[in-house]
Amino acid sequence: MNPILECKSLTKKYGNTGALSNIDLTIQRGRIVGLLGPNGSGKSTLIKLANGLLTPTGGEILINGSYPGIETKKIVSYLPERTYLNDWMSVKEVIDFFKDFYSNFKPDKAYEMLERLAINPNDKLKTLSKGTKEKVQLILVMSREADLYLLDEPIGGVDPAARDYILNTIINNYNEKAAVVISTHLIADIESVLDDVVFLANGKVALTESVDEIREKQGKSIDGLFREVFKC
Amino acid sequence: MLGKLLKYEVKSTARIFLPLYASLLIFAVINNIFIRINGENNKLVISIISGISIAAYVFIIIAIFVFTLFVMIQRFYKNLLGDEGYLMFTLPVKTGENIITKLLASMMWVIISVIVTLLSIIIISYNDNIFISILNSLSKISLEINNVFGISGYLFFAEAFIAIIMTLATSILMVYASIATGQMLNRHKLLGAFGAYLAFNMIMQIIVSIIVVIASAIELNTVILMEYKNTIPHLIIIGIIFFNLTFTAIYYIITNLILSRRLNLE
Repeated sequence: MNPILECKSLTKKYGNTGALSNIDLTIQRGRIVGLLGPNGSGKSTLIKLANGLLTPTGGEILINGSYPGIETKKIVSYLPERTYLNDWMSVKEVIDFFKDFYSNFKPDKAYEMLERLAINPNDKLKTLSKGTKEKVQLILVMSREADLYLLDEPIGGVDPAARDYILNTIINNYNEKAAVVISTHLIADIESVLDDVVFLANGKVALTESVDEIREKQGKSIDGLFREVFKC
Repeated sequence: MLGKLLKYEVKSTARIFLPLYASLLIFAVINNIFIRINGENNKLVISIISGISIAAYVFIIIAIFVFTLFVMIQRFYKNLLGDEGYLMFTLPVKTGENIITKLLASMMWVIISVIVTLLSIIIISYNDNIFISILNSLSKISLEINNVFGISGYLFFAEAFIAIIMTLATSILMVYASIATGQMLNRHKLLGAFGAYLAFNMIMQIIVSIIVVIASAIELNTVILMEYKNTIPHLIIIGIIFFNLTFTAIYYIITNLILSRRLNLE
């Protein structure tokens, strides 16, 4: 079976400034991977490349063995770092939208999570607060039975209580076949759920290691190691 | 998937157009009533109110056509290349389907806007025998066409209609191709789009000029002109259709290539 995500000497430049240079990276199914790095290290760029929202300057990126396209979009569930929903629909209408386009979207799951977080499906998106909108987006993304979840800063604007619920949802929702990639700099909050970590620095992979190994070999928490690696 | 995309595109734009159309038709009815009252008695107050109502009517017509243009550009720019593009381009649909959806919806609104405006003019000028006079004029026109061009006159109108539709498609896709070209830049995307539009426009002008120069070099004497007087208009219209068909295809391919291979959402 192909690895779910594979980068081969992947390079992306914006004009003359390089965002990613020569990245080689493989992510296997069944893992929850933290994509960690300071601001501007290329985390979002990498995730956008995997979604085909950007095109590589050099090298290649493969999802389940193919270039980003219709087939990969069917199996990738992507949470961008911004609001990508329009403002005129109601939550219910957005759920119908997802149901129409993604065959692996499970509306029941979405409604259950909405109820849990006390969000009214009939509310218009326009009237929701920024944090609530982020929760809705995350619920939509996690209600798909995808093979790869790419979550770009999923917990940034959400309160700690919802944060715990959301992280639990992430762990409970994915299966053996699926991988979850979470990009963030709020490491301490998600450390407990991660299997592997990828440290990005200045567009390069600084470290890829499983969390257990880091704890065993270095006797440090990921947060501690991050602070050490990226010391300013 | 094209059907689903179209469904949501129409849904999201109908919110803007349907209220405008409704208000236009309502004001047409109001104006019609005022025109009748005015004809019967000439009070100043009524004249003023009817003046205001006519001004509102004209204003709504202008608004409809400004919005048609605005929505055409804004839906492409915002829904595909703005934040909402993060969703539209991660749906499992072909990039071409997204472009065609925007094109068809825009064309649809232009056509409906024209029809609703014509309808409102009929409503304003409605009186008891308007339909008889419209039918009369139509039959006169059709008789006239028949006298001058023969049966091919009707064909001419069908061709002219297709030519108008094709010109509409070309103009819209030209805007899309310009916006797509502009978004390849890392900065000044809108300026780039504007520049691309001017460039596309110039290229088309040059090609049209060349065609006209070549066509006018063909020497025609009056004998030939008289002999082919029925065929020449057809040839011109068919020429326009093929010209637009070619450019519709070119602009579609440019837009599709850029958005599939050079997408640059930031």
